[in-house]
Amino acid sequence: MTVGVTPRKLLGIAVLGCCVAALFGAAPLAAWVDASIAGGTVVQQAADAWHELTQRFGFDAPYDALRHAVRDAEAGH
Amino acid sequence: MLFPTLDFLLFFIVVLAVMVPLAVTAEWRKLALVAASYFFYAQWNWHYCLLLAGSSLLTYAGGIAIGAASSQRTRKLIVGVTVAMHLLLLSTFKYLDFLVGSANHLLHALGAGRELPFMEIILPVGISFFTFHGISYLVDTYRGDVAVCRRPVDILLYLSFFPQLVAGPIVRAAFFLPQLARPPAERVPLAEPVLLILGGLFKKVVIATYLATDLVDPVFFDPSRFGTTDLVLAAYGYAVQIYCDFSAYTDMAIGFAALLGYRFPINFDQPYRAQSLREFWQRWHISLSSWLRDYLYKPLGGSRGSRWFTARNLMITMLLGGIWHGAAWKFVAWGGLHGAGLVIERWLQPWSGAWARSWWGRALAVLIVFHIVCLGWILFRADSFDTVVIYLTTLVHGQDAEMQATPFTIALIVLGLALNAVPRDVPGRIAALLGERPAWLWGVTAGFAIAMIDAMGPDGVAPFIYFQF
Repeated sequence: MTVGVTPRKLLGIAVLGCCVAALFGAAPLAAWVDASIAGGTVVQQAADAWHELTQRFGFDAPYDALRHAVRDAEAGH
Repeated sequence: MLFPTLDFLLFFIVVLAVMVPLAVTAEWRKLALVAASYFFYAQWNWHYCLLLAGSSLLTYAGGIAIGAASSQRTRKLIVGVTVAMHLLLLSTFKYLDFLVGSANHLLHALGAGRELPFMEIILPVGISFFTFHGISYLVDTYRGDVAVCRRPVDILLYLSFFPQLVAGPIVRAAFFLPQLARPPAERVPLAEPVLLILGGLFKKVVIATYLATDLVDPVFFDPSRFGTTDLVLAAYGYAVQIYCDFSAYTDMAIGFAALLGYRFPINFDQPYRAQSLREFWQRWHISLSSWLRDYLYKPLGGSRGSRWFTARNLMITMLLGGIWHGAAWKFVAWGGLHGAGLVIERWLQPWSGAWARSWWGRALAVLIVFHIVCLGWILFRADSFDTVVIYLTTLVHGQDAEMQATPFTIALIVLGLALNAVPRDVPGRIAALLGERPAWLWGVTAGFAIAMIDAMGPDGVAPFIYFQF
């Protein structure tokens, strides 16, 4: 039930939310790692590998579809 | 560190993780939140933390001294001195170079050969907000509305609590300090804060950012290049942008604070449906307008006098409210416009007949107030008075020019105005409807929604407008 949660449960929910965001938003995650972690090649490689993996299973499809739809609307297409 | 960034998301997760073992120990929990808030503030410039700590020390010591004073006269002296010190600190950082610049203009006009040197002081982000928090505590303590706070950590947290630190809402001491005195909440709300945060993200990342980059910024950069339609739509666009930007920040601040177990007051309540300027200020940046009412307008005498006396107090309050927003004459003019509007509205009130209560009278009033507010926003947004003059003359005279506004930006304006019409209790009602859903589903939904909002937004998110104040 979600009327109120304990801090421990809230942390679990927040971590779960981050995992889901990373699953469907692997592209911006990889871009963020690239921009934020200077010289962090291992982390960058991991983020890129994660992005490729999510692409292979089609998790990036909603993100890309929505992005293209909004960009098209912005461009007036 | 901005709310709609991954940096902030990680920061907030770490704060939540630290809170878990500290959930039952109030003092350690507050200390951890102070440390997190100073870390958050240091992301702009760690030197600012010294200023924040100094302001907190002044507030704490002032409160203790007021509590220890034996006579009313001494208490009055202490509150006067400490409030003056707060204002001096704010003025030094925010207004010194503005005053130097204005003095140089005057000297130049008088034919003086010399100019005063600029101090080139960088404005610390959020200084206006934590200064007003400090003054609120000191005055409320003096008035007896709030007990003297003897726990330094409470004052440190009251001034620095990161959800409201850089752009409000301005939380009164009497509202927040009692929350710190209570034991930490064993359970925190989930559904409503999550909805507020997601709604805020959407308003900021999608509506405010696209409107800024695609319409408002280009038009205000050089209004002489645009036609009347674009200039009108850019004014509407900025009205929607600043609403979606600032109310988004407030919604997210309220949401993050609620997830940490604290309540903040509301700051916006459908401002563009106001039927008078007075009502507008009861719906827009409520925490600032009520602060100005209680700590400036009423102490000046409020409306307890002749109509000229009331007009004077309204003008002083709105002019100072204008300059609170920034060290520039355009903000003074913006405050003056609202002040004059409030005065005229008050004087015209006895002549408003039955037509004012009819549906078309109310609709007309909403339209008139909205357009006065938009006129004010042109002053607020323009870089200078010259830009305002060019903007308004081009708008009136009109010219042929290629359209900057597109169906997309017009749709965003309509969407923003539609969101303005959503009653403030809607997130709570939706949360109550969906409250029985399993908690993990909120995590999944929020994670997916965050990714999709990012997909909809343009690359990069500009800082919130109110950070500069």
